[in-house]
Amino acid sequence: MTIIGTKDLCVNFGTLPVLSDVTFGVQKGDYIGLVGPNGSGKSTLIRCILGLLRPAKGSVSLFGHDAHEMREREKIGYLPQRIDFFNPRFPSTVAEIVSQGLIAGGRARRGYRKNRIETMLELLEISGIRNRLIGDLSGGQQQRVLIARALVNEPELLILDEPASALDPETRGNFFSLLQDLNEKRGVTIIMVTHDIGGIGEYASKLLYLDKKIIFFGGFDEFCRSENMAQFFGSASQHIICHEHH
Amino acid sequence: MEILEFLNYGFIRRALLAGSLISLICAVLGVILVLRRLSLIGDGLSHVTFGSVALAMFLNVYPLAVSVPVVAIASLGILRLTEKAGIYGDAAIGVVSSVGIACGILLASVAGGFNVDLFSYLFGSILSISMPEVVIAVIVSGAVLAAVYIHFEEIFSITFDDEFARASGIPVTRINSIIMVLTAVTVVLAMKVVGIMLTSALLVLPAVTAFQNARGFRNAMLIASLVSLLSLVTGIALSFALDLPAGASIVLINFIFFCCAFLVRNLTGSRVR
Repeated sequence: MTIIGTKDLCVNFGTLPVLSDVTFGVQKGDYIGLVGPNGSGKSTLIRCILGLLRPAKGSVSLFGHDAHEMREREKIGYLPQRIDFFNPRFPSTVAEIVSQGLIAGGRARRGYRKNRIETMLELLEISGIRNRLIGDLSGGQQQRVLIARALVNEPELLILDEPASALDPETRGNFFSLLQDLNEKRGVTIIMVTHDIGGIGEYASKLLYLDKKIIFFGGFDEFCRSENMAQFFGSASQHIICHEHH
Repeated sequence: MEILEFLNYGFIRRALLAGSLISLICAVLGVILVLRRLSLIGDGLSHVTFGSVALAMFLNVYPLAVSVPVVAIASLGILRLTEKAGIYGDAAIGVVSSVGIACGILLASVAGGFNVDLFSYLFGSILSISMPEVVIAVIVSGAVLAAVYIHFEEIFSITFDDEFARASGIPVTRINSIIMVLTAVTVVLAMKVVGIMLTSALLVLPAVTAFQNARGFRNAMLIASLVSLLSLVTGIALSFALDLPAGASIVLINFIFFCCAFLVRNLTGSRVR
């Protein structure tokens, strides 16, 4: 089943092309590592997939619908890129923020909401700080709260924009294990934007290397064997990336 | 009870009823606006209100009939400028408010000045509020409170993280437009309570007072509402007892509450970062 499909996707900011002719498909259960240099269009692609940005040309389908028209938003869990986007003085508790993840899909029963929030708080090990204000937390704790918000609705598709950037090594390891569990045991489809091209190979089933257009899309082993990629990255870099993967 | 003697006067009861409702909705909207870094929208829209009142006087029609649509359009203009013209909220407010006040000055000049009438709008006259204005305040307050109650979760989500809200399928543009129109109508009504010059205070002061010690978004709205109501009632009572201007008294009581909340925060160590 195709979860995401893009066809000849082009996005321009003014006259500057940000994405050119991007065509790819994501199948149910895929775990995609979306990598590329700064300014390569990764976050722009994510915004197009979510229907937050209209492309200049081409199309994006999400669960078989046009991304802009897709209504079943409870199927999607999203973690935006920047952790410092919100007002640090925002008077909101951890539990209140996690509960925002349940808005998509309408008003769930109070009991169900409470239960889901409790489960997420425990899973992300933030039960003890449930009544603390978001601005009082460290960057890593804030990131865990936002991850809990993305997961609380039990989404079928998880879109994570640099989720591990503020996490300490232990939390990071637990977080990646959790994602692997969700992907392997529950069939959750995952797209993760990351700069850790070597590290992502340990978890992701496919790699999408973007630099305004698709440079590579396929399995990690295929990436490691690819002569084109050896030319693109240089064989030494490719070796280092693939060494980390294995 | 001598202390409650002032309640025997009809104009005081009208002022308390309409003023309480208007201060309540100012507090609720103020929490949303301040968190979205649109604190000065009250100031900007009140400048537009000045222009619209001048226009109403120029045309010789009832000021609210002109102010409500004009200020609502200006409010939506601020929203569209921030969304489409790629400028920050404070700059958009600056553009709209300066155009509003320039129009007012121009109209006043063309008409040869409006003297006392326009002056009363600058400084407010809650004690002279009429029964039809009380009815309007009841209707608008009901609409604002109902809209915030119905869309509370969505408003909270948009205020905290606009992009996540959009990704969750919340109709952000529609809800933003509703908030901006309701803010515009509220600012026009607040002009009657504290005047054009001090309208912004009714939106900002209760909110920043609440933020000193609030433990949650809903909690912040409740504290801001309580502070705003207490300031209104105390301000009107003081104004009656000491023959002081009501608008300025209400604003200064609000400021005293802010100072108290600030002290409590620092003495108890709550919200220390």
